[in-house]
Amino acid sequence: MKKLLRTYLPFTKAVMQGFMAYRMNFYVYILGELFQTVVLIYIWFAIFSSATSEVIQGFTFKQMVGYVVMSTLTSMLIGNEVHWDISQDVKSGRIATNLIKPVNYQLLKFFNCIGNIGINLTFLFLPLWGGYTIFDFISNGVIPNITNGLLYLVSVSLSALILFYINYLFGLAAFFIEYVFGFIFAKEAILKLLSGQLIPLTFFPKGLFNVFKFLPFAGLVYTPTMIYLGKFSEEDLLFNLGVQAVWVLLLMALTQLVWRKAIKRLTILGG
Amino acid sequence: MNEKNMIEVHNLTKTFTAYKKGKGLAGTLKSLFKREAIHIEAVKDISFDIKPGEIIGYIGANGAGKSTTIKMMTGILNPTSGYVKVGDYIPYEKRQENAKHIGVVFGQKTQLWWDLPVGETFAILKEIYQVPDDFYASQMAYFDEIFELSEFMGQTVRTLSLGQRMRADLAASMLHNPKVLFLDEPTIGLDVMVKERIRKAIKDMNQRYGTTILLTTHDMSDIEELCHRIIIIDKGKLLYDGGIDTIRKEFGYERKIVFDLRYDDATLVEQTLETLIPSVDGCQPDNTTYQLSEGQLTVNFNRNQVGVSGIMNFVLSHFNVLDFSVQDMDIEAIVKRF
Repeated sequence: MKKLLRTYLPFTKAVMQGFMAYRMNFYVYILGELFQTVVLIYIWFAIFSSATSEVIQGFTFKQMVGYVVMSTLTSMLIGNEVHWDISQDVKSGRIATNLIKPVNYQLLKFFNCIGNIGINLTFLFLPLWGGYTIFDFISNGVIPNITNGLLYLVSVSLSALILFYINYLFGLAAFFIEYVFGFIFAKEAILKLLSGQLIPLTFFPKGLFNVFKFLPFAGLVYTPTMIYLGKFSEEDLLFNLGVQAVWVLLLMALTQLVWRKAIKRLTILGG
Repeated sequence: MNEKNMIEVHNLTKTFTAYKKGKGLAGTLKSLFKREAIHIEAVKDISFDIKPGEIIGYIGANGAGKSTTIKMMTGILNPTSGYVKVGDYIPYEKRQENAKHIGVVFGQKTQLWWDLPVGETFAILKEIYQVPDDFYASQMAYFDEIFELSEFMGQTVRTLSLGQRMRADLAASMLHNPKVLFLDEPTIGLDVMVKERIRKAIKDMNQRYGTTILLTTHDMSDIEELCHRIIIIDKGKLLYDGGIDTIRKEFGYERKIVFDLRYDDATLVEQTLETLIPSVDGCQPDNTTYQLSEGQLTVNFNRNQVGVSGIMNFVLSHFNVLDFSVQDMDIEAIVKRF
């Protein structure tokens, strides 16, 4: 284990150090995301003020603001660049320089991903979450629930793993098709909807919701956010955590399978 | 086999499958459903052995299959048939194990971390290859001596000049003292001074640690100065495997003069050129050839049999010469002769 960390932690460090070179880019991107969040809150404000009841699908307006904020923060926290990195590696032929090193490619990308999450945590999640929590306390007198917070940590760790595997698989698509950009953009749009980042999954028609809750995407944002807000019954909590855990295992197996196929297919571009 | 081979390449073949893309929108749509496969044989049935401590020049024109062979030897690509063995490993079966004992430089791509300072990159490589502290210190001191790394140790990799980057890349590939070093065009695009320094380092590394080195290059002087033996491939096939002396004897005296000419009538020039071989001392059709294209006249000749001055006199007195240069025969020309 110690040897593993010594070999792979440098890849985490490299991502974090490399980040310093592209800080501005990162913040401009985040500014766009935050703008979207503000718009979302205004839309909900309009919906709630024109609605006949104070509660929609079990959410009050304040809870809905909490959902929007926490779902945005969660998707920011688990975000990684693995799919872009891999497709870039393959497209530019730089994958060769990774494969000549005595390291496992998936582990290398995993530790890159930890670097991404480390950056998200330090530069985004903690400051924004801290700001929101203070604001929520001052204006609503809300103190975060410790148990929910700890359960959130468990759930969001599983989310991060699921997203890593999904992005890794989309990255590997670059081995089979030369231009993956379209696929990745489509994936991003679908994820936003199916992960519950835009609206809580309970807002979908019952039939759809019953399908969506079994998909790996629900485990990305919806599950940890609902856990943080304490909106799950004990039964729901166990079910959703279970779905997350099962998907982690399934995706883990799937990535191994796809990698074996991918490496056989590898044709390195650029000489 | 008496002596153990460092590298064994046996009936190695690699065929890539590509798919033809149709022309235009209709063609693209059609190729979505029905694709025509094209098989490209990059490497065809190549066999050779390399002994420990040898420096091998692996030569061929662009697209001859050099890089593909190297990628199979480094475990990145799987051969279609045949096998490669490097040390005790089949590289593409035990890629990670094999990688611990080899060093690779792709002249066209850096293996350094683009956004990090050079020094950081070496610290990372130290962990990846698990280089012991004291050996790391002595290697770094050694590299500083031969590559003068300390000049740019604190700069990020993307700000390095090509020569500096190549020095850093070479040092990076040698850090863990690999048994085999694969250098894919290590001197490409570098000036004479840097080339010289890199050759010296390669030679030094070979003598100091007995490192087996396989290098590809388009530069004849790389081969003359470094290689014990050369292997020539063309269109994926092995053409020549043997000592450098044979090549030197046969082609070492080949010279090439390139003239930039100004003229109005190309046919007139051609006509005059026909008198070149009969009128210059020692010139025979088998030791002198020339070629005229777009104002450039290239004359290839054997220095031992034909005097440079004879050819120079002839050309200077018959044509309006803007510029000229005398060059060694290049590798492409040698490959063509086989």
